[in-house]
Amino acid sequence: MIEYFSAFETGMTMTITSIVALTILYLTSSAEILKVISVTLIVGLLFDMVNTWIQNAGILRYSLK
Amino acid sequence: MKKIILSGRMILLIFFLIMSLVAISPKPFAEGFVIYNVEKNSSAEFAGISVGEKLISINENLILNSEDLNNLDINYGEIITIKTSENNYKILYYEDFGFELREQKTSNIQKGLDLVGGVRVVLKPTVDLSEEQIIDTLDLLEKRLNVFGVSDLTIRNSQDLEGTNYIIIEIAGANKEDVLNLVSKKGVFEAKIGNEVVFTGGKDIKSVCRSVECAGIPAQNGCYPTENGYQCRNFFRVDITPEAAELHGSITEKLTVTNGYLDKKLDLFLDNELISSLFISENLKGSRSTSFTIQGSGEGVTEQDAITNSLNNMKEMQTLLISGSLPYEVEVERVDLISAELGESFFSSAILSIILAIFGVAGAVFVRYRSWKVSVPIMITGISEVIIILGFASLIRWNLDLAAIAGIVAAVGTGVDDQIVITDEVMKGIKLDTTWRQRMAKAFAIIFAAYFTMIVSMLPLWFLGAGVLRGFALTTIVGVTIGVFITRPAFAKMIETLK
Repeated sequence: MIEYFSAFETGMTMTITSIVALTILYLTSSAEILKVISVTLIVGLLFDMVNTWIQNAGILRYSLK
Repeated sequence: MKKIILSGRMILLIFFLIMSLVAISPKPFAEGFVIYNVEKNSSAEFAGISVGEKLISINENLILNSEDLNNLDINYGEIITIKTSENNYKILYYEDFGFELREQKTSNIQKGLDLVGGVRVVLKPTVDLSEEQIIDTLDLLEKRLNVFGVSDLTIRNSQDLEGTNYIIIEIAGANKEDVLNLVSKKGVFEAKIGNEVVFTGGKDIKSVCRSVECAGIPAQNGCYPTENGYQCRNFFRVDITPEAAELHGSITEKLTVTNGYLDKKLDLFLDNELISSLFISENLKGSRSTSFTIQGSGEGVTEQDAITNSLNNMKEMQTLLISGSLPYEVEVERVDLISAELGESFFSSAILSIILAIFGVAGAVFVRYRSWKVSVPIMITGISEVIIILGFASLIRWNLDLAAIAGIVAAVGTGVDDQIVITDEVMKGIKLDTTWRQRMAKAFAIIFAAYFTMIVSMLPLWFLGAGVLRGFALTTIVGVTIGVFITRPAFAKMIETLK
């Protein structure tokens, strides 16, 4: 269970730092194109979090049983 | 601290950082223009202006930016004074200065087309060519563009996934549309009398005059008004080889004279199209003369336009004559005129944003681990990665465009992710009481798996779409490689020692 939780922690840290970095990129960049790139990635990452929770975690849990 | 800096991995990182800074060689306070590419036989060359001199003023007007250049009021044929870092020169202004100017570089980083503007031409050979034949064609195109005076260009071949060959030419700088004609023409030049070829472009031409004395617009009656505006004639002298002159002699000997001219004309063909037909005066009958004057013209709404067009046509013709014809025919597959709408400042502001984002990451990491001993190394590693990627790019003269900037973001992004994996493995290791070596081995196993997946997924991009996404693929691959082999081991060392 510890393994399980630490993988979750690592994954969440990665995603959250990425979101923070992209938000800064979005706020500070002067070019429209960089804003578009960062918004797209932020939305993607948010959905990725939900997806991992519903899908991958479920599958992993199933296979571990 | 001493232990960290003196470790092999840190020394490697510091070494690469220093090398990168040398390669980039930043000069943040540079302004103005430097001279490059002085045209052969131009008034500027005769005056002794040489490449690399810094331009200070023209006609006593200080030149610091392109606005200063635009504000200059110089007329065709005027004598102007040019002051450079080396000397004062007086030159004749003749359509242009006879040299090109380049903005003083603030670093060795080459910015891509979408930042500085320019044109990208994709050419496709009409028949399938072998690698060698493609290279021959590339060489000739490059020669042609160099003769024309285009210097900021990259030219390469590329294959798409079906194996079709393309030739991609990228030329930086605005208003380079006139090169289109130059790269798409096969450029077979033939001078014929009747049906007999006297000389052809390239091999039969010894030299083509491009200086004011024997090329340009005739001083008398050079330009005249027409129904639609103005027309200007141009002329230039070519010297042909003795063999071609011999041929000219033997052909003209057989011709008869009417009204002071020979009964057949010298017809000039470019790609089987008649471009002009010259009368041959009777005293040239049987002549083995090696000099010819070739004439052309150009039109325009105003006289100045007509002069410019006429001189451009002349320059194009001269270029085709000097370089000869392409060994294989090509057709223009696509032309992208890329405006510099992003602007050159885009690059520095993008890099600044990336660095700010790294600070943000350090902040987020601090919140997670509650320790500067993790966030500071993450910051150092991220910024080092950016610097080393830029250093590598300036070393191999890679054009950094928007795709490349995206590549830097991707590389630094995966870098941060890997660092978090390393940190977590280290933290977990402390709880589980394993050795450093075991923890690191585990972390790097994850990192290498991710690394090879990344490389494999980037490779198709290298070939896709005739390599337009190459910039992204290359920077990502280089960035991630630098990360895995240089910065991340150093990061692991910092974490290991600080903990």
